[in-house]
Amino acid sequence: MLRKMLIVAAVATVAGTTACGASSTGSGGQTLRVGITDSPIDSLNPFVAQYVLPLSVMRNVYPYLVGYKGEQVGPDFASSWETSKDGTTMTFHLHPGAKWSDGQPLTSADAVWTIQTTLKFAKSSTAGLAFLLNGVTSASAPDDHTLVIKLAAPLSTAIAQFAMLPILPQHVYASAAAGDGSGLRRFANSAPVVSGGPFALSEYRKDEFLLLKRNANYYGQRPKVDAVGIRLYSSGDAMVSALRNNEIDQAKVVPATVVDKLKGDGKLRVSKVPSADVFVLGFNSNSAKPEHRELLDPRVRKAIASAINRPQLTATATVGTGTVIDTLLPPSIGGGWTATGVKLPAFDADGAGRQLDALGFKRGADGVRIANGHPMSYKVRFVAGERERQFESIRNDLGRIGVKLEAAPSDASSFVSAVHGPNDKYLDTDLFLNNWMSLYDPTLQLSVLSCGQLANLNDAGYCNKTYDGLLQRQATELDPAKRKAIVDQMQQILNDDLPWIPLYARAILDAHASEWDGFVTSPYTTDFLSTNAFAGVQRSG
Amino acid sequence: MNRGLDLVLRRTAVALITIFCAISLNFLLFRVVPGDAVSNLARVPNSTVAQQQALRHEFGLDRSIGVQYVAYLRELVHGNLGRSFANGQPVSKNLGEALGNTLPMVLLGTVVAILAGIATGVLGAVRRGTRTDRALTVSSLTVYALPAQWVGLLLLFLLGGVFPSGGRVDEFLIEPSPWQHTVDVLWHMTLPSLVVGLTLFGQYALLTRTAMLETLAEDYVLTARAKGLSTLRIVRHHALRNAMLPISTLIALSLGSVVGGVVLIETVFSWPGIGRAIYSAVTSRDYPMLQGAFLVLTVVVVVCNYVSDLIYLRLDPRITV
Repeated sequence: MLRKMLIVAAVATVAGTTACGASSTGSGGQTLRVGITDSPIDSLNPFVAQYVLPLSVMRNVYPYLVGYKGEQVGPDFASSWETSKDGTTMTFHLHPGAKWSDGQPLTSADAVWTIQTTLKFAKSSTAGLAFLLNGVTSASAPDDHTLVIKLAAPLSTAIAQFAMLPILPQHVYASAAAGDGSGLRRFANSAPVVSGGPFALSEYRKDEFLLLKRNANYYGQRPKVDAVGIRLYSSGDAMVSALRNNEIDQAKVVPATVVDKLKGDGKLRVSKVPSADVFVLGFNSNSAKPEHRELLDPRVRKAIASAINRPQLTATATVGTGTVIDTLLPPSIGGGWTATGVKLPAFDADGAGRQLDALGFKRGADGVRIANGHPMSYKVRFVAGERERQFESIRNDLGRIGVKLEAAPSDASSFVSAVHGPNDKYLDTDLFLNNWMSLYDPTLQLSVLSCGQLANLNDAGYCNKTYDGLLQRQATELDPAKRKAIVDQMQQILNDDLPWIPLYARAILDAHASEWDGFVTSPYTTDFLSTNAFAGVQRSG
Repeated sequence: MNRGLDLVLRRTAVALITIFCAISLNFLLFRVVPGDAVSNLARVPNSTVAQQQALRHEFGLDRSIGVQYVAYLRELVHGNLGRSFANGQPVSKNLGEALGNTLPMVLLGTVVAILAGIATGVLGAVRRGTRTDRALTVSSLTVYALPAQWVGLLLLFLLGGVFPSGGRVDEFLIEPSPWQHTVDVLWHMTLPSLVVGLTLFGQYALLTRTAMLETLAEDYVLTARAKGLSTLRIVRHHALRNAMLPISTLIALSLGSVVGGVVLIETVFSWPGIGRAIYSAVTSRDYPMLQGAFLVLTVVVVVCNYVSDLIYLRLDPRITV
């Protein structure tokens, strides 16, 4: 899932128009018109959707047991919860008397059905959500507003997992779950969607438009706007033009190139926050890789890391808006997860050259170093159209120390297959450029480089048993300080082995008309971990 | 009559064979490129190899290409284009919506281009060698040479405040009457249609001018002049009718290609049509959508060709084989 999010995480805005001068919605009420670019909706089915925007829509449409306020998890549909002394039973107290948008009761039975059904078909149709129930064995409902979840063992990530699990209306989905459950994957979930969150999805036109109307039956605090209309743009220029011409009120993730221009417009406000989307230069770390085995040596990787001018690369690739990072957990996720003591070597091209000299990799006649009898000339795989500027910057830097890079672009669909190589054996690739979006809880991001994710999310073919052991330990360590120490240690291991050289986190740039306020930013293109984005938005002017 | 019928049958057969070949090529083409729909769809955090296999099985991707091909043809004959891998919806529904959005926009632009192109071409031919002719020729050549997406961005920049910057309708109109809705759609269609129109206008104008110059030099036109007919009458009843032969062919051919060629224009104006549908299908390796979309495009091109053949047959009785 994250991999898709990453691929996609780019530009976003939502919009509507009043260009005709005809009557617009909002007679008395307020409709926020949002524009978003290049943020596709793969599906509105929670078992299928992988992209950020549909996940954000679901976050606003379905009830969730808990939700994020900032970086901390707080109550949502569950107003409180407690964990048993042995840490394996969690009891959630749900809002009593809640209803779905169609008037049907919204109770613990819906939560139990969602959890049990997801567990039941975890190996097939519900796999897309099943990872959120890692460590969960069963769910039960002693009464309508109490939910009991049993865990196999104490789980420090349980609450963070539940913060991403939508509770689905059993009366809508039950028929699709009949038989082998394959109907769940085919369920269209067409608008109007029976909703339980702050908004109800009342209209959706593919590639065009989404309309979220305030859900009158919502159990929580009602949003201030009556509706949020999200228009899907395919061009950032058109979106910005729409914002300037008052066809939309907010443009989400505007191109970095127009930010200065927008800042100069007195009628607009621009926000810039570092994203949780981390760009990395990855090494194929499979110890069985047959060629260019010098790249398996952490000393070579360190030399390459110090030869890359990351501040300059960041400035170039993000038009001056990104942030240089040193570990795969970016500071933007908060929670103190970023190991502050873990640093990549500072930029030092001469020093990098000396390190390679010391390893005996002398320059050949053409200036390219020779390692183990062959030139240090490598292919770098990346998704075409997205990474060219990064690649050029890195190629120039490494060219100075006698390491030659060659571009091997591919399209997004074949990129993963290309990096993993035939049968996911990790034999062909040398280097690759990728990006990964971290959640507030670091587990999923850390797990990408685990042995368990080989042939799946793990793009580096990296496998370190010590690291995997720590990954398990941090997930079961209930003491926050001890858990953080383990997570720090994991970041240090990655810094020693360097399967990835973290490069930078880009910025999320939003702009909105100045007569609106109450926007809450998040490190995600569209916030899929909380309902904060639209909850407090209102027209002030 | 029999010869005419024979000719129609032949052309029909050729059209059907072309469509069949295109279907087969489309099927093969997307399967030889690396990566399939499952390679990304199945990469959820808990995914196992078995799960990826199960997904491949569900999509039928675990069968041999030959078996997949036969199954595809069988379903196609029954009018079933399959279901999109990406959103699980019938391809025909996805494509129907996209095509329904693209066609009116393209047709409006094309009609404008035809009318303006023919008028410009005729005027240029009649005023051959004058300043008017030179100005019209230069402007036709200029718009013919400009890339569509660039023209689109330029118009967006210049007219963004006057016309909507993108999208197909104003979603925030409350319960618009049919009339309001129509006006709204036309208003949103203006810029993208204008770009389509501009990109086609140049070639229509240039071809019309050339064809008109040829016919205006024919003996029968001279005869008509000698009979004292007015220029307008000569142009309308003698020259233009004969010049229409190549023009009608060009129109039919360009109609076919413009439907597939609007990808960039639709991207610039966020128009939810067939171009955007194809683009997103390519990026997610959505084979059923791709096959369906290319089938539609192929059929459109072949049908336009076919129609132009038939028109030719009707316009020019000399054509027999």
